[in-house]
Amino acid sequence: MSSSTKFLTLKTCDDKKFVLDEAIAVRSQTIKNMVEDDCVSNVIPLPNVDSKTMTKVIEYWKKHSEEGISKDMLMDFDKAFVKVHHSILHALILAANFLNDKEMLDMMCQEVVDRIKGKTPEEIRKEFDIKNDFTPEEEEEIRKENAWAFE
Amino acid sequence: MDSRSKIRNFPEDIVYSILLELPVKSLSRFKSCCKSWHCCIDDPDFINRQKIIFVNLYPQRRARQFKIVSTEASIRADSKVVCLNEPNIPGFFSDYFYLRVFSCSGLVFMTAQYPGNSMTLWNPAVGNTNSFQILFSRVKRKILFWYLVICVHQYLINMHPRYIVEVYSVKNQCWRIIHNIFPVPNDLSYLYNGQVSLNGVIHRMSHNGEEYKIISFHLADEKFTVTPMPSTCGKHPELHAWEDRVCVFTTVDKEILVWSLEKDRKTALLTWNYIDKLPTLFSLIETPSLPVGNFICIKENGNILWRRHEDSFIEYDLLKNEYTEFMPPTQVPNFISVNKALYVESLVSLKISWD
Repeated sequence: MSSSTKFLTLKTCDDKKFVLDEAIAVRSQTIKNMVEDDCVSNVIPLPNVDSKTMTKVIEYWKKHSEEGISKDMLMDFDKAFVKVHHSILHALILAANFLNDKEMLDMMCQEVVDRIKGKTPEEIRKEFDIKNDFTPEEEEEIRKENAWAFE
Repeated sequence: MDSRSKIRNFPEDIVYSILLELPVKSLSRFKSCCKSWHCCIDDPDFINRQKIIFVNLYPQRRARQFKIVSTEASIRADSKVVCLNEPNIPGFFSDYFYLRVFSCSGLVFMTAQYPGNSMTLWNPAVGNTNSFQILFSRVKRKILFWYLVICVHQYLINMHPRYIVEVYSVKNQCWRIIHNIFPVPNDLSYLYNGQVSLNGVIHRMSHNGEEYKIISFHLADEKFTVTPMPSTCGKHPELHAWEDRVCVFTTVDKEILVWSLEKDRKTALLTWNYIDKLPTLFSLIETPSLPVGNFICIKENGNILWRRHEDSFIEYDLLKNEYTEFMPPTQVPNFISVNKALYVESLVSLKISWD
């Protein structure tokens, strides 16, 4: 191991610790800023990310930092990576947003787009935990205006 | 209890970026999800990103400029035509009689014969232009376009035409010659303007005065195929994209028949299938002095958009059998009937980061 390798310790909201090569951890713009501003003491707290989600994020970061990995292999990895239950997908999006990893965030959002494209408003409300705040009359009106989209 | 069993709400900017990627049909449906989504989707800034733009050139003789025109917001039922900022079109495009415009996947490609067979790529999403010249000086046919520009050069050997096909890669910015033979039979005197690029294949209409054929260039294996248009299909065939299909519109009496070009699963040959019919603009408006009218596109809500003549546009609702006519704003200069709609694309799909 090269002596220049630095390690960071990340602590998730459920008090689990992850030791990670700094070169990999700075894929997160949030962590990178902290490192650059020199405000990293011993442990970096990640109050918005739980350990299950962080395990997935680190799996992604490690794969994307592997040396000599081909584009095709990464594509296959990404494809398999996003095939998760929608609650995990949502958690990953929130984590990528907090950690400010744009590449990962874009990929996860695209997956959401592909999944919800063909869905009905009811399914969307359920998936996003949205409360229907229209009166039945208002909803009927909007549906009428956009009837073509429901065919 | 698992902390993830309940989904936490996304921050607004994430919801916004997800909505931006959705097709218009999904968005129209999702307006009824909740008030905040409804507001977001109906927001003028958001709608702006859903514009269909179509390029038409408005050559101004004195100023030698072109204007790019777009229709507004396909998300709404009604259309109107607005001027977009004109791109930084180089001066040589003053020679508009030889100007050709093609488009594909959000890029607009313009060529002019003089001076020096110059070509320009324009990316409306970011406003960039990129000009380059072709290798061979005596070009007869500059045609097909994807992320690649494909040129077919014709020259004569002992009075017989021969062809060279060159490909320009936008990414690598270099030309190379491809050795697959360009299948233009000698009687195919010229290639039509009509061109559709879809799913890795570029289709181009060609005819010799009697017979129409579609010449298709397959990007994957760089091969050409030729599919004849049966004469029984109807008159005045025109090549268009309809949803995700390549179609030919033919005219029979007062109707336009729509034929889609599809690959036969068994033989892998391209064949014609009749899929739909539309009224002609002429039969809708019943003004005998009108020309057929230029078909622009089928909007995502299913309405058909025509250019009626120099000044006005028609939007036709197929289900209700109603049409509305609308005018471009007065600052749009008058058409000179050089070209019809040259380019139709929703801004939603303009996402190519190229500089």
